[in-house]
Amino acid sequence: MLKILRDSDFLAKLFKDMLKIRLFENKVVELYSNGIMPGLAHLYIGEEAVAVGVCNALSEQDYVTSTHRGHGHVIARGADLNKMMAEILGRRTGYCKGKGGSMHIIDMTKGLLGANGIVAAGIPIATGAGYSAKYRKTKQVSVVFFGDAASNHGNFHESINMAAAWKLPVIYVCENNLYGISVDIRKVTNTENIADRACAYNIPGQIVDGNDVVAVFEIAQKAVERARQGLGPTLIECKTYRWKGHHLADPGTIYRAEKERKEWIQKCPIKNFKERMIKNNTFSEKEIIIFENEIKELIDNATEFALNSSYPEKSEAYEDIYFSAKEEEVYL
Amino acid sequence: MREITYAQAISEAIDEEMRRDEKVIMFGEDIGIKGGNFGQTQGLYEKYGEWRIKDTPISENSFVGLALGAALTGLRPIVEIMYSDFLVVAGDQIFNQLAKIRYMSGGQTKVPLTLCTTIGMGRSTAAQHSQSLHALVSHVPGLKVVMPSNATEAKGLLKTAIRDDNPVIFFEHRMEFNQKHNVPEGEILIPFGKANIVKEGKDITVVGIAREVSNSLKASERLVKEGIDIEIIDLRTIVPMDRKTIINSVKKTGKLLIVDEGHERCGVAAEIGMDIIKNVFFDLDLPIERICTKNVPIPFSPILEEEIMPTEDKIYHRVKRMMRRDNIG
Amino acid sequence: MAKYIIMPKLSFNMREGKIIKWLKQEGEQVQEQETILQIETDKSVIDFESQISGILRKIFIKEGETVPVTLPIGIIANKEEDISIMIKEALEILDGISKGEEIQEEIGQEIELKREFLKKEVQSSPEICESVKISPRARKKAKELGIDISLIKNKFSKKIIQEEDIIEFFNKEKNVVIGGIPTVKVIAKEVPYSGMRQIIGNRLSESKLTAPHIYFSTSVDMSNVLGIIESLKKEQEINITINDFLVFVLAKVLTEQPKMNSSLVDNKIVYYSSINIGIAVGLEEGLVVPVIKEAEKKNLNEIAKESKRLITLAHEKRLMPEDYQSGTFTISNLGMFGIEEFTAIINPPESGILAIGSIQRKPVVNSYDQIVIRPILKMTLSVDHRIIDGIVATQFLNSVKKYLFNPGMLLL
Repeated sequence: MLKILRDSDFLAKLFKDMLKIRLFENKVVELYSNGIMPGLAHLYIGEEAVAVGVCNALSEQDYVTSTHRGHGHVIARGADLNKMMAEILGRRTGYCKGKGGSMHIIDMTKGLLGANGIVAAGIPIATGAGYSAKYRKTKQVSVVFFGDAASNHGNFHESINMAAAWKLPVIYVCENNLYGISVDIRKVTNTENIADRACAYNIPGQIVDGNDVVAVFEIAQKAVERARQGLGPTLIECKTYRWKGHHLADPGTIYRAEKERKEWIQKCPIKNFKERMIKNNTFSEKEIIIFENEIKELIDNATEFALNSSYPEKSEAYEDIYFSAKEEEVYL
Repeated sequence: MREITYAQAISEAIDEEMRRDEKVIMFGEDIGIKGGNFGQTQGLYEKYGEWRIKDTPISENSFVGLALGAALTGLRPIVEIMYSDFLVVAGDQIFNQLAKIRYMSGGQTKVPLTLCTTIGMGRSTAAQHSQSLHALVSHVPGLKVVMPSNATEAKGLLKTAIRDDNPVIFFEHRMEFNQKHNVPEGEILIPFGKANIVKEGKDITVVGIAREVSNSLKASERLVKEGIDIEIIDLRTIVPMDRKTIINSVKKTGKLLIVDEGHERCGVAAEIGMDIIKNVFFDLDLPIERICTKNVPIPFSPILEEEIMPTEDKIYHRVKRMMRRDNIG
Repeated sequence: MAKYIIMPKLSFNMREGKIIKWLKQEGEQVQEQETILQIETDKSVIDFESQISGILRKIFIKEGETVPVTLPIGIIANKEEDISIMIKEALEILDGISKGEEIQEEIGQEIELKREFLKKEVQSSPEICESVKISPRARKKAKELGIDISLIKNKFSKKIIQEEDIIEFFNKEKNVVIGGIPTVKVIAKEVPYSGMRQIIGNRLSESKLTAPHIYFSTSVDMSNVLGIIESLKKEQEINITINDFLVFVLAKVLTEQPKMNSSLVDNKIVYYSSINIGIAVGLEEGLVVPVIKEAEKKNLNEIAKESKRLITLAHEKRLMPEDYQSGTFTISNLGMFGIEEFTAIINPPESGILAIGSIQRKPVVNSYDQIVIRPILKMTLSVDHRIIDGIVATQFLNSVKKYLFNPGMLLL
């Protein structure tokens, strides 16, 4: 903690990464509300410290799989905001040429093996990337983000079981935001902590304050180190909260107490981190404003880029199905 | 020429591809020391070790996802699902993940993954170990679907599948594993999307899928003695489908019978039939016919099993009926 | 299993049929698909095949008698089977007719009659099966060949008419129905344009619309031919007609110039090695074209005999399909009717037809510049210009002319 708190550049990066996510999501709210963004928007607001803390513990070669609530992971992994914004607006300049959208952003150049529309589906994929790294002896590690609800899916148990048995370099990061859509995790699960499940597979299970980016970073760093040494997987449970509903059309108020939500908003990962930095004299308020403006500009530029991008040609619906472009026509 | 079994041909194909490319690895149940449930991986564990021939726990969905993760990160995995009935256990990874990730990513990824599984009745294994679910995966865009008809075909098509940069579902037939065939020595690579006219004929086009090719050939031997000359096409791959070869044949004969061990309803025969009606309706001299598995769960008792499945005898009688223009329409 | 044999309805307009000959007698065994009798229709004599095996137990209609279509003419049954009720029923119906009860012309009545039989579990002959189906491929083929499928639907004894049936029908019928003579418009009464008339019409149209015709006419002095015919009559008592001589000459010229002995079929020009010359014979019902096969191998006497045989059969309506199939070139002679000259429509898929007019005695200038009276024959060659050029046609016609003018050259 002390060590990294002295590295102001790194701390600035953590702050800016979280802010990027927050401002990006705020822009999504705006675009979606104005009818510009199609489809579904699952917002990451409130959980930024998890993605930023974990991803900053990784090297560029490592792998990540994400979820339907994936904007945060993608941004934390250093994705191009222009391409992201274009993708969620269905433009051809987007990461997936407008074929994936918000839930399916992939950036193979950053080891980002995909956000995923199916709950828990990324867990075995990341596990396979871990197997691959181990087989190829590359020292890469693989991280999978998933929610509390996914921890009740067979994939969670099946995959951790294999990773544990074969000591694969995989880090299972559970973002416990307490609700699977409307269902309180405590109503459908008997273990108090998701991390407690690790003992069933004989691997370390860690619990961390998911709203404390530095704490998340440190615990992730340890897990990454362990994985690189060939000691196998770790399960990290990050306790956190989503401020918004399941997605933008869900206000998230029926099944949650307003009091609970307000308490968590008080624990805002960005605000708390900012206050701590100012208190510790790491940055002045002025510097923070400069950061904020910098990020704001990035988001505005991305939005402008996306809005100025054209939609795909209709013919593009028939491309990218199979690897060999020449053969594609035959398969339709 | 040497004779080897269908199971040996498959293990030979995997062996050759593993020797050729160290990125080829394999996941599945009982593929290690046991050498595969049907002997398809005999000797490979000893040769390539546990990290390349990986026995998995009974976690179909996750080990298919595991293979997908490996495929996305530079390996060329083969996954073995013991029975096609279990494909649905791994349904999410097959239908939603490996079939679609390339498209969803706008072409950023490739998935060089071969999923081997088995189909077929004839061993009284009842409703959960006998289904031929190739139509199910053919319905989903993004997968290639391969149906070898004998040992040589199995070897040549499997090697092509392993080298393909797309997800391929490879259906082996359980009744064929012990069947011997003259498999040529050396490299065999059979391209996808090229149906094989195994017997030319003028009277009726018979499209066979997997084991129904050899059943059609046996039926043909009887029919020839009665002066009936059928043309038999081995479809080889459902996706991509060589529609042209079927169309050209039907243009010649005007009559089409499709034989497939998949269930009849919404099956591959329906797809082929529709295609023919669309493209060569005015060349049809008789309504299209199909022999598929009846639309019931596969029963256990051999008598019941025989009742609902396509057989050589059923092909023989149906062709005769078609030649008599009987019971049509 | 006892079944009536029913007078088949073989075309839309067919009302009755005449029994020409019973090939089986009462008590005889009959096999499925075996020909059991010959029936004369409004067009020709048809062999009638039994649809079932059994014993011909009863014959209702004797040879030479005529009976309306769909009525019973006999019974096929097993040896021991009791057919007394069937006999009684059939006789009641047939008696009613013979007593002069008028046959209703309305089709509805006819169907009623038919239904009566069906009710009694009598298998109506498949020829009159209403539910006959025609495959798309058969329809396509019929269209290609210019066959109106609705007219021939009832000709088939199968549940599904397939391409092979259409081809078979076409091959059987094509030479019956050639074009060749311009129709003479004499309105005496109105008859439906259907049946054989319509088939002829369709084929004429098809020929004229698909094969661009080009015509070449010439005249020839027939003195020498007439002299030879006359001398043969005296010497051998062989009756050779001008037409026979023309066929003989055509065989010779077609041998020398095989390009004319050809057809355009499916984008291929087919040249035939045998020379089969069709002779258009006008009957009241329409034209038939019996064919003298391998005319190039026959001498004049043989041609005369074959020609006479075929023309007799045609007039007796007893031509069999093999008598009018496989023509490669046709001659249409209206000379005997006094026509000086005319043009004919090609009999598809042949490439040429020669139209012969009457011999007229006319003044001509001979090689000594004298005006003499000669028997002059005018003839007009029609060719399919798609495959025959003018020069080929001209050489052909000139050769015919050469041999007719100087038949001695036939000996060279």
